[in-house]
Amino acid sequence: MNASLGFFTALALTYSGFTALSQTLDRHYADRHGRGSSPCASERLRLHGLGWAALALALAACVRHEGWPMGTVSWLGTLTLGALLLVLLLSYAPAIAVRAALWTGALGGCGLLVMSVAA
Amino acid sequence: MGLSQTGRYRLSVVSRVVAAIGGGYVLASVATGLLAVLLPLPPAEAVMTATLLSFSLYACAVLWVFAAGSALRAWTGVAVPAIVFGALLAALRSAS
Amino acid sequence: MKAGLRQSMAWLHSWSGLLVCWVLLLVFCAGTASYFKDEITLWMQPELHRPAATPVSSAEAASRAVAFLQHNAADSPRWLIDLPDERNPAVQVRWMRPPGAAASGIGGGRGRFESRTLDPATGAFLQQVRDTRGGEFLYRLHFDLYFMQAIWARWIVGFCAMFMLVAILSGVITHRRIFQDFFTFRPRKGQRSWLDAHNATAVLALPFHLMITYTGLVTLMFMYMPWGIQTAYKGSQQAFFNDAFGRAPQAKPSGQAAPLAPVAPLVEQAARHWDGAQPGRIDITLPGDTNATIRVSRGAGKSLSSDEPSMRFDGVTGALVATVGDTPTAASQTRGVMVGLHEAHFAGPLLRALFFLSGLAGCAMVATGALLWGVKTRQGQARALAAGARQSFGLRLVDALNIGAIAGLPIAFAAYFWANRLLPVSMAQRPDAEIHAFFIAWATAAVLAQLRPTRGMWRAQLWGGALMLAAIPVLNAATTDTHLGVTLLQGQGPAAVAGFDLTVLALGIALGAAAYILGRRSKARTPARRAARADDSGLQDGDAKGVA
Repeated sequence: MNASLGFFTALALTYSGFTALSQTLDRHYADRHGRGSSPCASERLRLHGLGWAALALALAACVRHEGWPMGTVSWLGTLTLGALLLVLLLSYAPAIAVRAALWTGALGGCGLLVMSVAA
Repeated sequence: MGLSQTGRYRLSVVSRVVAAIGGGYVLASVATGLLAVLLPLPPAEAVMTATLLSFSLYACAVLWVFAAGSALRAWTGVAVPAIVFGALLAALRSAS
Repeated sequence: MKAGLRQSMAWLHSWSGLLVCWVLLLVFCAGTASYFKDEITLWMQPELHRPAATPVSSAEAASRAVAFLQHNAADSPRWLIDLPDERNPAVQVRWMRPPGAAASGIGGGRGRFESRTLDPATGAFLQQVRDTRGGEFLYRLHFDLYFMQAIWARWIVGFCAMFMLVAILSGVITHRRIFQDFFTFRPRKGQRSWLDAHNATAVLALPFHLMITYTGLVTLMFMYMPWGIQTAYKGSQQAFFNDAFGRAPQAKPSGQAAPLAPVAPLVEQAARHWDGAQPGRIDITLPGDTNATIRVSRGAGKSLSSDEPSMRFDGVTGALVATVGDTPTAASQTRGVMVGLHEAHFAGPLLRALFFLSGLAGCAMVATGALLWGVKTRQGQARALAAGARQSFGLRLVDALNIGAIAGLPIAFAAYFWANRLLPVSMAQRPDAEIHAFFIAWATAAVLAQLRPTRGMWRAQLWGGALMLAAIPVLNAATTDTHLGVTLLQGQGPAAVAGFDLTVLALGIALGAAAYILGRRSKARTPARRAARADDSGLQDGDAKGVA
């Protein structure tokens, strides 16, 4: 149970983080909001902040679960998986990709809470 | 003797390949040998450190050779450090 | 070469990648499989799928193994015992063949060692377990290759690894919009899609690719770059290894016989010294001689470093001579961690799956790179081809090699597993026969590809590989009783066997999907296009967009 919790929390947060970061790029923002649109400066800033924060929290989840050396290795692997999933979804179902990120973000947050509360 | 445009180009490529693969290896080897005796660490540590770093030096030498503006500059960038390190190494050898 | 760093790096990237990509594909495929080599070996030995009735302590397993060796290898100068762990239920013993002794052909070991699989509880040779090299073959394949001496293979693989390192670095430098294109994949757009796929599989797993290439070189760095030892140790490799790894100087046989000290108490002593961490390997030199030594090494555990601490004992008295590796130096630790990251022994199941995924990304990166080169080159020759000229020698060769490697390797892997289930259990030289099945299948695919490097051949081989892989779980059900129905649906396990069946099924489905998509594209071509035979070979999409 514990192993899965750490892994899935990190994966959820990674996916959300990367999705937020992808939305700072015009091409992928347009995938979601229609051709030619692009995020305004404040929105871009917000997305950057959320994205990097989520990735950092994913690292925290990995390290909390496995310690620094293994946790960092796990985090890098999870980054790869999260990014791959996002790339596939963005190519074939962009609207779903972004909506899913909101859910995974929430789930990841819950996972973090559980992990910090459990001894 | 005038080489055609393609001939000159091909010669340049071959020259760079030799400089990269052969010259790069020589440079990395000499640098490793020199570092192994120069580093202020116990000998086993020094050898380990120098050898661990050698592949990054080799890779950088290869990148240099193909990024350099001309085949001559490519060779110079590899040969000069190799000769300098080699000379240092020889000097250290004869001193000890 | 030309104006601009990006252009010269693009040139370097293409050539350093292309020239060695087929060897690299083999290395990546076999290496990725090696992450699960123990699980593969277990799948290939159905007789071991039901766990031993009574679990046995390491100490007892060790004593039984020593008893076996004393009975069967008394005059061997060196014994190696691998104790069981979570991924390996049986005891593996190996011994150096005494000079002059002939190879038995059992165990399939090449070189000077004999190997056997033993029951941990009784120490008996598991004769009823089918003889196979299992996952070890795939592991060795990725750096020792085959059909040649290990040393040549390691130089070849090291050479290719340096090419790969240069390809990665030049690829990163030349990738103009690495951040903007980070998430980009545009399907169904011909050359652009291949480029996107190549970029995605490369960049999204970039830390892994850089790590695996550099650490791969590091695992054999003293062979590739011995010059530090040359200068600092006057060329004495022995002196350096003694210093760096605490190895004992080579013991010479005294010629006087002396009974070997009992091993069980030493194993227990070691486990206590390591706070309960279990020993993994026992290395006994000159057993039965007065100069015998026993070295007990800790098993793979939670440390990133591959250098496990060990304890050396006198082989006759059992007295502790040295403890090695409890406090490694910084450089030693760095090297240990680098090798450890490459081998990933420390990885639990989830992390191991992530490594495996990244390895697959590496295979895809190499494959898409080679395919991209073919597509681009075909485009460059498009006008000439449309006018009726033949494709260049280079293009045809690359197309044929691509088919033979990208579609042929899955066929070879599948053939290895099929041979494991179909060959008679008690045949002689069985491990070699399985390995030959691998190479015969691969050679067949490669030769056929050279003869007709066409789209049809792509589809044929992709479908072949897909069916062979996807049918393995069915084959498993037909030949054993630990098939998915039992291991997965009834939950009886072993989990590794279920995992193997599911993985080859998934890979088969993926290949089938590729073959199917390729087939649909073929049908979509207009008859006029087909008549022009402009794209009879290889893979090419009709849209010819500019270089991305």
